Amino acid sequence: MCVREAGLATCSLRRCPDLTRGFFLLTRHVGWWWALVQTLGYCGRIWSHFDRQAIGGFIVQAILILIAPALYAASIYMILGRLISAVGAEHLSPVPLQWLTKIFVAADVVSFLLQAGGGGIQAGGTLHLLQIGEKIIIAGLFVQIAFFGFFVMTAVQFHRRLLVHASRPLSLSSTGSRTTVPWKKHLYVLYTVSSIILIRSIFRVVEYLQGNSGYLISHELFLYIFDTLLMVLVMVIFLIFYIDDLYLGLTSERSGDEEKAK
Amino acid sequence: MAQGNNTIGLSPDQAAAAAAFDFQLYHYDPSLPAAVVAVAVFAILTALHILKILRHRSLYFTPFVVGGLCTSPIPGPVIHVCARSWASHMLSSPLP
Repeated sequence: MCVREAGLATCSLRRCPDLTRGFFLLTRHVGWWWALVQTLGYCGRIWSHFDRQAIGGFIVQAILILIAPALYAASIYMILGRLISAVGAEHLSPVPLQWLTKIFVAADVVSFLLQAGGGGIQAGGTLHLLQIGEKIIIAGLFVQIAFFGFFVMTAVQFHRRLLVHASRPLSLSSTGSRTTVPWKKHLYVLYTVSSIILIRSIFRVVEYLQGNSGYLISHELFLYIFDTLLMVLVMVIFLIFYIDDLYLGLTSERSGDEEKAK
Repeated sequence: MAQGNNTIGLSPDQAAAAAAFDFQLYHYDPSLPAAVVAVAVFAILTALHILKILRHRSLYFTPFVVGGLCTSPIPGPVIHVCARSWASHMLSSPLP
């Protein structure tokens, strides 16, 4: 009995966070995972260099390089939600906080599935499937662009409200305990990476709209400028400005929950 | 038929349509140096992100991190080998 209680206590503290927390922590620490997807994607291009007729190498690089930014986007969406709650300004969120992350991540999952599914359909290898897949990928990219635009508008709106609110003599939250978070810096990081990914998504849409014989897809350089370089930039920005203090917000929230549990 | 036309598993009719449509997987020879540099840069970024997570002692993800450390340097050589075996295979067969 004692052992079992001790086991449960350990479990509730650190070892086994519940699914939601686990999911958040997973998404919070996926930076390396995105990079891994990209690494594998470009391995597909090495493969293609050795055999440019092999559909396998083509599909590996096409799908992985195409979908990696959708993974970045999911994390960016989650970061805004975390930022809002870490600053304790839930009441200033333009979209209710419990919906904010859900809406954007759901849209991102749809976009991700459309792009990956379109790529998968293209892997069918017939011309008809290639054309259908292309249309589905374009739809996925438009979903991504639309929601990214909506997301940036949401962030800007939140930023404005927070500025108005912060200029008042009272602190941001009723407790005032979490206002040490450098939210301006975090918001600028989010704006920067969002813009970069938006530029990249627009490039991809144009590339796919031009079709298989289009100018952009026919020249390898454009891929490396508008996709590789931009995505490296995003990864470097996240490496330098990774939003660590949001994690502090999480731990204080966690200890609060633990106190409640007691 | 021009080099690079993709006629994977197509009947003669479809192959003719393919030629008319002029679909190609690549309109260029995918650059090896560019891809190798990209793989290297992203592998380094993977490692740096992992180091950063480790530095913050997020022990929850130790298994993932170990997995990542094991995986990231490996895909290159593995896929390289696959590619070469595939390439030699492709010499005699239109479909793998």
